[in-house]
Amino acid sequence: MRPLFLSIALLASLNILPHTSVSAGENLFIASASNFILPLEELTKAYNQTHDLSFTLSYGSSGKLYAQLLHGAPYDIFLSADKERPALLYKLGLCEAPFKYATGRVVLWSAGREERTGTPWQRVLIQSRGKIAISNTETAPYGEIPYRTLQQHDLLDTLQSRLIFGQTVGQTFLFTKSGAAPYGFIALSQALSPEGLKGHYWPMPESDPIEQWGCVPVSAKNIKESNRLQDFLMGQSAQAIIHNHGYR
Amino acid sequence: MDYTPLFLSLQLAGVTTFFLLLFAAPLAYILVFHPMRGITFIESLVGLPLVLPPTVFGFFLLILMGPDGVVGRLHQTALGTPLIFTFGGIVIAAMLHGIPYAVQPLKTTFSKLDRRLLESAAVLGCSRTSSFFRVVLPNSLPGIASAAILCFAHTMGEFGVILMVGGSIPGETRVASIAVYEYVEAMRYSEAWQLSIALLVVSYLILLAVNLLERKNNAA
Repeated sequence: MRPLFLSIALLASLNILPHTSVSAGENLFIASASNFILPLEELTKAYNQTHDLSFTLSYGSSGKLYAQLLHGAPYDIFLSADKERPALLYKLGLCEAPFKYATGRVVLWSAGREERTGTPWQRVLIQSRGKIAISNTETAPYGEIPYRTLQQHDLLDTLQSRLIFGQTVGQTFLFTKSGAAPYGFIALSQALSPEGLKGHYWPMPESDPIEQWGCVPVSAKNIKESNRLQDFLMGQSAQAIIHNHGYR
Repeated sequence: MDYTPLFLSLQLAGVTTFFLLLFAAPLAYILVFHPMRGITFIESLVGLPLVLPPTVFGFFLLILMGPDGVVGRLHQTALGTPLIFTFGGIVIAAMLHGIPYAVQPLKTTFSKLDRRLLESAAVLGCSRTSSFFRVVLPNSLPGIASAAILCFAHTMGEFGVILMVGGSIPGETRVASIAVYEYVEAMRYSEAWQLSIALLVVSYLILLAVNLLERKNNAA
């Protein structure tokens, strides 16, 4: 028993064994990028009106969830915040053909009262002081994209020393919300959330839109159910909900 | 391979241990020898970091140490710089999280001291403060050493709290445990391996030192 227990503990500590909730009937395990939390919760509720299904939701950076999938995490559907990771999984034969479910945008956000609402984001950053929160630039697309934008606008040298890094865009939001970092690069969907609307955001039209793709792992428990959810996500009623949250 | 995170962890552990002991030794002394009314409340507070999840502890610290928090504002007024997301910030976070790891072994050591020593000191006119420095501390060196090593080792492995208040700044708050976590997530496994092995060796050497020290004390 001891070695078995130890290996389970080890796996759990590596975060490879996810927590599953016990429920009656069919259950779908969704692994989603952190920026999509709010729409996803609304979407699963809408889906439940016509389907009797329970959901287990797991959130993280796209890079983390991708690594977990490579290690055999039992997800039934993977909603990434980029195009590359689902494409890679597809190429490796680990998932079915990817599908695009949303296009998000990065914005600069501040939790405090703001007077410079009409100022472009670049000037806001240059004229301000204090830390700037950004998500992990390797594992979180909502960190990669604004980081690249800073590089392209030759702002990185000036601002690098002020950057602090959240593991996901959710943590980046917390860092900014708490005022610990006066500014942060977050998802437009977060800026439009009830908490986000208490602050102010500056659009970043110079930053590339973030295409969010998902895929159904071939190891999904019930591929048919997963595909049905995939169709729903790409359908009109779901897309309307997604657009309401600031995606295109 | 960049070993900066490892050196940063060692530096954090060293600084934290030093300041923590300065603070914990008098506290343990009061708890053991001069408990006042209501001391149980303080004692329970001291043990809190053992029980609270690091994420909860880190969340509170993020709020407290931010520019709007009490601690953050005090720091800003006193020194003119923010505290959160700095090396000083993670030192304070690690100190607060490490309090029980320092206080518990010190309390154990102090309570094993022969009370007659303190009584004699009092009879000979030693004040409470000077008997702390001249009687208690010199007679508790092995206990202080093991408290120091325990604090050091605990801080080397500090993760959740620093994840919440550090901000993963390379060379400042991106300590070894955070760096390993990020390497694994970015699937840079060879870097993760190298740093992990280095941490393993350092941790083993620390434990070896503790055990050798203990054996020597028992023999003496």
